[in-house]
Amino acid sequence: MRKDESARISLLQGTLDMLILRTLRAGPAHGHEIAKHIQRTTEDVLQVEHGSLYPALHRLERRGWVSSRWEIAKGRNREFKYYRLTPAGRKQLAREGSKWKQLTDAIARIMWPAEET
Amino acid sequence: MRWRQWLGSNRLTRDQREQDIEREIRADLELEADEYRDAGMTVQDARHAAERAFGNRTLVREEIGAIWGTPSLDVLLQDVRYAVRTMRRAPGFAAIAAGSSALGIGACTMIFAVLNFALLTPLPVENPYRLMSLSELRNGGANDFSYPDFQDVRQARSFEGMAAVRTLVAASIGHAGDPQRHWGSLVTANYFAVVKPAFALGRGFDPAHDDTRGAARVIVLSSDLWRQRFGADQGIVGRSVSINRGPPR
Repeated sequence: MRKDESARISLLQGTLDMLILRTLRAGPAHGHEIAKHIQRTTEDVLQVEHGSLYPALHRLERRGWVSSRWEIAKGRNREFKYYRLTPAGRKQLAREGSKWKQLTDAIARIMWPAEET
Repeated sequence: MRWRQWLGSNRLTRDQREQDIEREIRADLELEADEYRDAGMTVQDARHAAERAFGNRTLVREEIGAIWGTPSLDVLLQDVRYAVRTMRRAPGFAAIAAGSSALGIGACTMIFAVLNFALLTPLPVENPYRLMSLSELRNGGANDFSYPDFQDVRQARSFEGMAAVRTLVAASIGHAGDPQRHWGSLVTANYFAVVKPAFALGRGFDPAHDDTRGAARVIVLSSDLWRQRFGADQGIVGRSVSINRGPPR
């Protein structure tokens, strides 16, 4: 189920926050769902350590980029703490996203120049 | 949005926050254990596996606690920056708003200062509303009475009592061989019987004894002087000090 250690990439500082915000753009989710979504989407290349996931969620909430509420999960009679994106979080996601786009484009231009491809 | 952020989850107390974090972690562990169990593990093994996968719970709890515990300076800075930007966008409005606030606060402060002095803190005497001060109008200004005039008015008995005061008299009060100059008032012996201020210690003058020529000179200390010069000495009444280098009495 999980890829072997060498195939995994550890997350760069600050990237996790952006990935969480992006995941929440699809709608409210609790911590476990967010982690699962990131792992599944990247085919287990990115492993989200729960030890860093929850502090990141609280950090985002403190900054006002997400809000949280305890809600009963669909199809279960158990409550989970659901996080949702705030308008400020949406703006932050746009800022961070374009910064990352620029960075990865710039790196790609050096690593794989146009004439070689 | 901003105030909701301050009032929203920031409103949780420290205990509530800790419970919230604990509950969140527990929910995660249960879900993780469910998945391991679905994959065929025993209940016990699934729980242990979930806990192992989560890592150091205490560390995570402490980290989250620190996020909420420390006052977030950057959130405050963000607010300040936002406020400054908004004000810069509409400088005229900001100036008018700041101006009217300043005027309002200033006016309220002034009115309260006057009210406080005139109405809310009456003189610390027994009957402040029946106490008045008399002066003589001469040459278009209020002047002091001469002593004979004072005696005449006193004999008219228009008042319950009448005392004369001469304010701002400098005197050197010697205490423990160290004379110092203080400002005081000279008053007639019935002054305290007329004004009836509240005494912290002792009494005022006694007209029967103190109003005779050659009697010992007596001073009554103000509360401030008593505290500053004599260390609020409870046993001060009856103690002798020297006044204007006179014999210590």
